Amino acid sequence: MATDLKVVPAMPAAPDFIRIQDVHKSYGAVKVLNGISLDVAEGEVLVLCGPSGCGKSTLLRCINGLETINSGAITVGGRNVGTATPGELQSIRLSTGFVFQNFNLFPHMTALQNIAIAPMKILGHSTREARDEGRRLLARVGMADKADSYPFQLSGGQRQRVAIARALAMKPTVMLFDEPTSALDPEMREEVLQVIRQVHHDHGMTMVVVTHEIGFAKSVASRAMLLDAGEIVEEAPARAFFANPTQERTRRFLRAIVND
Amino acid sequence: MNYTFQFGVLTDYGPYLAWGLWHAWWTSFPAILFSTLIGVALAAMSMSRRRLVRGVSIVFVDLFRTLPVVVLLIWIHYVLPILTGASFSPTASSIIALSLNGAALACEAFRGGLEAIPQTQAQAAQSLGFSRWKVMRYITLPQAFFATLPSLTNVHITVIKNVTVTVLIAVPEVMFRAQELTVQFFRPLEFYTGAALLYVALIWGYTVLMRMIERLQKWQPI
Repeated sequence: MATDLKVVPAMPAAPDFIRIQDVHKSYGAVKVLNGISLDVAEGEVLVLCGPSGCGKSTLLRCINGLETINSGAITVGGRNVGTATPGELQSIRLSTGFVFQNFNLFPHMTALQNIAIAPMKILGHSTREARDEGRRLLARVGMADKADSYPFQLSGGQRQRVAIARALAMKPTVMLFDEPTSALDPEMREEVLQVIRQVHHDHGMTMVVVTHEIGFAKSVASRAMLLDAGEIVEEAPARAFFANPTQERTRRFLRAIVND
Repeated sequence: MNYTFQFGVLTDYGPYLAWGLWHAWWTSFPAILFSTLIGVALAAMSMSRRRLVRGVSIVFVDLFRTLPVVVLLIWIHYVLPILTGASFSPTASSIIALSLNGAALACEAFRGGLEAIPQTQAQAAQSLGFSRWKVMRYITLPQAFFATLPSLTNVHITVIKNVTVTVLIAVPEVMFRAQELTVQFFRPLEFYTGAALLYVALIWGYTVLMRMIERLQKWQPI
């Protein structure tokens, strides 16, 4: 069963790295995504917001192939997620780093091992190479002194910073953040947001971020979007989206989270 | 009841009895090893996407944990040679029988451990490009191993205790020797009590070893 999947090299950079066309998804009778179409170009930072249960996390998970869609199409770097062979799905996942709401670090590995395991076992890097790169990444997220700590010894904010470094270690083209700060205490949120800002700043990394952090969204996002009941309510350049939204639904949502 | 215990016989024949531990260990140790390895494989199979693979695991487990070990032992030692012409030494037959039974029990222990690992662990690994097999190999199994250790220790203890039934096919372990000595000296209570103490010592030693392995876990689940 030890199928060593061949990593298919990424296609030449297309203008729209992620293309989502009329995607529908339901869990039984519950429609979660109801005809979503959206493109993400390289270098762009797209912020997705919306009330809980609106489908924003599901959409993100579908891009990564962690969930399957019922109809429509999602392509990442020119490869169709829905019809991908295991090898293609792997290269889609290698090009899309995923950061989870609850971090999902591997508890049986130290911070450094968490970061080095995938480059070693998936990309075939040597232990030394993977660990050196891992230490560099830990330093970048301000965790150089915690390389040998296990996740249970780290705070929530520290865990999420390690998780970001773990995703970056695979050198993805785009980073998908699924509510990266919502499981954190308020004072830990800023340290994580700072790391995400820096990742964008250093590399111009393409990002899709599900978040309710308005301040962060305003400062980093190039485009913002409101999802409700599985549909796109409003989509606009970030500045316009937050300054003068055109839809009443968006205004109501933004008021609610600002007062929150 | 006026029975006078004469544990004095144990000072003369204790060493002979105790030497049976050597055989008990060399029957139980391979059986523990095989039941653990086969148990891991069966547990992994029970998580397969293929129905056939899952089915094989379920049938194996249900068959070998329901069959009385005594019957399994007699079939392997006496019936198998009649059917196939292949015969085994008493120790080999015992190892096979105890391994089959132990593997079924170990599989269930591992399955419990594997199911205790949240799905989100596999998702995190998949998002990094891990195949299903590599998720199992590097993420799920290493965590499940420590989650399983306490119940695995129970399985191993059962395997060691089952060595006592190999007396039936004359493996010269402790219980067999106790029987031998009883027939000779008519002191069953003394010899069987002595045999029990020896098994208690063996199993106690084993649990101490397993607790040491449990302490190797430097991490905690989060």
